[in-house]
Amino acid sequence: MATPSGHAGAPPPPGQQQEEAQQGRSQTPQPDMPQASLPARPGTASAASTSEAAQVALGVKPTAASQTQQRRMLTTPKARSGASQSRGPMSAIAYRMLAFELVRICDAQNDLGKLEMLGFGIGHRFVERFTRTHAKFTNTLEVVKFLCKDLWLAMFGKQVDKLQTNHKGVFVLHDNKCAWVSSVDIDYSDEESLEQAKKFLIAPCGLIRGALSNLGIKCTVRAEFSTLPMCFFNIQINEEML
Amino acid sequence: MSRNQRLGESCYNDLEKINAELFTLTYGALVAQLVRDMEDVDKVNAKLDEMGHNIGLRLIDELLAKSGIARCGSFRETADVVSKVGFKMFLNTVPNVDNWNERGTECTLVFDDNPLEDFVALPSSCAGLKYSNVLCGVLRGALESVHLAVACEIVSDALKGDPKTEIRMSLKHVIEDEAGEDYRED
Repeated sequence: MATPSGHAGAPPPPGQQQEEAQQGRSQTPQPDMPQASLPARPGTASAASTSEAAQVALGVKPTAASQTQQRRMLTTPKARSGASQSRGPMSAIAYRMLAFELVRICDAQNDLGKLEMLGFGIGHRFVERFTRTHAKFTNTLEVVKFLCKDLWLAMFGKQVDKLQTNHKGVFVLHDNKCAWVSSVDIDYSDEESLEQAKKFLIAPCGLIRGALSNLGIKCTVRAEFSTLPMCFFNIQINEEML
Repeated sequence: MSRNQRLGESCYNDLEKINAELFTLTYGALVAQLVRDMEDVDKVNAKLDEMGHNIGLRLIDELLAKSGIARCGSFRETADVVSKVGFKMFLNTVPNVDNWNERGTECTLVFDDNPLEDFVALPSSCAGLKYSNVLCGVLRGALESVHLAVACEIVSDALKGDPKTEIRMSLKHVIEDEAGEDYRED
């Protein structure tokens, strides 16, 4: 895969300067795109070429958030009690078990499309409350960065580790420790385990699609992984309604 | 703060976290899907219980591994661990344990705050739905793994107008260690 060239000095997007932390690396060669990938949704473009992908600096702070900080980030107001009380985050392991049951149900009905739709609904509804007081978004890049930083932080307590784009409507999100699959351990040489593992990433794809759709962007999302729990979400923008 | 309370807090703090609303939305999506798929509400209740059972069988391993809790001497102690450690570390909520019977084999877990039920309203067509039935299954599965056969039932449901959601937990019997034929010593 061709290395992106001439992007080491790419100017940061306007308004982001103050947040930018140097990630302290020279342009690293792109890893070979991982072999295992979910089938593309019908009618979508073929695999995105990231040979021209530019590194979009997210201003990710390298230090890990402390526990109290993390808990504050994930806190949401409680539904029934007064707004002064907030609900702290819940354990991810219990969530993964719940998600696994979801996969199991859809799998039993041989309907993985349903799983994606469920993810869509969840993402859509989450964004609904979360962006209630947020200012209007002006462009797609802003929306995707919001997804990678604020949304991901609110949902999983961490930001997306790397965002790449080819500025032509394709974004790739790198998550080094995807919360949905961080307790999955499979035999990578076994075809069947790989197939099973892919199913765990269907709902998160739907979640991203749902979140973006509520922010005015129609897209197609695919997930790929080479070594879990690191995975890549490939977002192909189909339509913007900003 | 009692020892179990402290243990629950520290286990909760150590675990990887996820947004509670995401959890609630996911559970809601799951229940809604089940209701759409199986029109019979009783089947949905049974399915939720079964799912909970599967989850409980695995969740207990997490609890034992992370908390390092020792064997409980009585069902009262078990109930205390379940509410202060188990529910705390996984759902960040501590139900009150109440209404013990004389023999100490039955109690009620009273949820002041059930995170699964946030933002949920049941339509009239789902009057018989036990929304939080998955919790009953989890309790049943988890305790089965530690050789306690319990029966759990939702006796009060905040989504149906009751003040709080309550689960009645009764110990039926202790499951004997049944090793297979090959393992028995003659």
